[in-house]
Amino acid sequence: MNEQILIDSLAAACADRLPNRADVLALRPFTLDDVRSRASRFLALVEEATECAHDRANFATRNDRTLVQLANGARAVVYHASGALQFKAAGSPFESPFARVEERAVLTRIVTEAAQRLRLQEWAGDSGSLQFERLFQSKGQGADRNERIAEAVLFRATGAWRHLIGGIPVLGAASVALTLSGNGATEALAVHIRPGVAEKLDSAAIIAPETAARQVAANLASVLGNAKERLPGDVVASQTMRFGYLDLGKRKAQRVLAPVFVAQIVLRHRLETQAYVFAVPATERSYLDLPLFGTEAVVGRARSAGGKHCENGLR
Amino acid sequence: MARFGVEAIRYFSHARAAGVSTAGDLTYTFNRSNGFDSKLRAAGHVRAFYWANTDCWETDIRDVDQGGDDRSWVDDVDLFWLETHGGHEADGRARMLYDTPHSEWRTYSNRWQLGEDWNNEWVMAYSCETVDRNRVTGLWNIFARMHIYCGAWETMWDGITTDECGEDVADNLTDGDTVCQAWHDGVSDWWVDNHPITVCVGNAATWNNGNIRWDLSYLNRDHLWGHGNVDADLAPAQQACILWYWTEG
Repeated sequence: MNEQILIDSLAAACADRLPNRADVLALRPFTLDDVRSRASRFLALVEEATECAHDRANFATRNDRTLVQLANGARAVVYHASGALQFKAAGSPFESPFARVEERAVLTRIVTEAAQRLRLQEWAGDSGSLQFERLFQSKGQGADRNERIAEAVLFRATGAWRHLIGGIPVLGAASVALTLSGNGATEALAVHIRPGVAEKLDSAAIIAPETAARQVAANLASVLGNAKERLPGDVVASQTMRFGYLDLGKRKAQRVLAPVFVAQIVLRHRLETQAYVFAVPATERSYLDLPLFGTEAVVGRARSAGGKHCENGLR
Repeated sequence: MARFGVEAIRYFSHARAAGVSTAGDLTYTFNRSNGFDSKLRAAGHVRAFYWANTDCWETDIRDVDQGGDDRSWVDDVDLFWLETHGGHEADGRARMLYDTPHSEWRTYSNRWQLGEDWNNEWVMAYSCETVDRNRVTGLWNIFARMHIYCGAWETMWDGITTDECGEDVADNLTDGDTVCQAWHDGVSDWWVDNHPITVCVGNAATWNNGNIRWDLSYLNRDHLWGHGNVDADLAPAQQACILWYWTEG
């Protein structure tokens, strides 16, 4: 593997869109009551879009979220740590497919128009905006015993939008995702935008993308470890890197939005393909904990030679 | 309620040292598999086993007829979650890497026959490329009576932004999604393209001479035990079609 080529490619992927400085932002703290009020606003929007009344909704609080059972089996979920919101309609995901496998441009127009009708832009906040990012399609197909293959059917189209604050994207899961069925009905809606920015904590200089790319390459080297066989020069199948803020996920409380670089790298060699996401700070000082490795397994026991469970039992 | 098993491999140092693979370690494997495990257990489902790293063996999924021990492990649970590096052969067989040769370094799906002991209904594999969308029929043999295989037809991303996928899938299952929905929605963050695909078999009525009755399929009807309908097993002799549903970005 040629590390310098990887570093150059990653750096080039975002070099022309970088500010010299970017704000480090404190996120507005919120209470469970705030989350409930946000949920009410979301449910009113859902009711408007789907005629799914929420006046008799049943709220069930779980550890990290509140599950809201709506009429006819539809449901919404509110995540306590982030305020993220999700709605899923009742009914079968295979009902109401599209009449044909539409062109991407047509589907993009359909989801964009639906987002406008739902005024999803309003969730971006005063200093934010939403930008369309990607279209996903869910399709089905089948074959019989004679390998006769049926035509593919397009069942759902999902539009994904990115939240930007002061023109800087908040990376991570899509900020807003809207899934439509073939009859234009709202099948699912997710709003993963935190409740708001409280204040500017700092204005930090952005490091050169080459510096960040070098850190990403070091992270990659860490996970690759030492192999008996040397990796060939063309092992990196694709690579990209983006600059932005990073949302740490809907189940995590987060106090700060700080500039980061997020790289995606795919490696292909012999029988295994690997796809890694690496996040590294975009500032000299690190404002967010961005560990390369996650947690260890909850079970730490060794398996007995016979393959059965050890006598100390399962935790 | 369901019995489930988990096998998750984060380190591949032994496979690399042995010259079996150059694959790197994964980073957030256990965030996903721990999350899947804890959410299901919190909802009252029973964990039958959770093996990690070199305690995960390819014989656990290999059929007894093929010299494996699936009857004690993967085919002894309703739902099996697996996380490792994956791929597929040219004929459509799924392939997965282990970090210990017990007995082999890799599993190949032509040696799986799941559900034949009437236990396993669903397998979920957070691994790259275990389904070849151009040769899905290469997986047919795994459906001895098993209902749905949940995998990926291209890359599955590992990193700080996909660490909640296990919790998401488990929450979806216990909130009442179908197994198919739970997988597609749970592993999709609608940013990195995780290429989820679900594969099932169906009878002649479902195939309907090529005008597929999706409403009759396991993909449309199966839920986790305790959270909705589960259709009856379909013996190989009754299987007239193989169906697949995928998301592409």
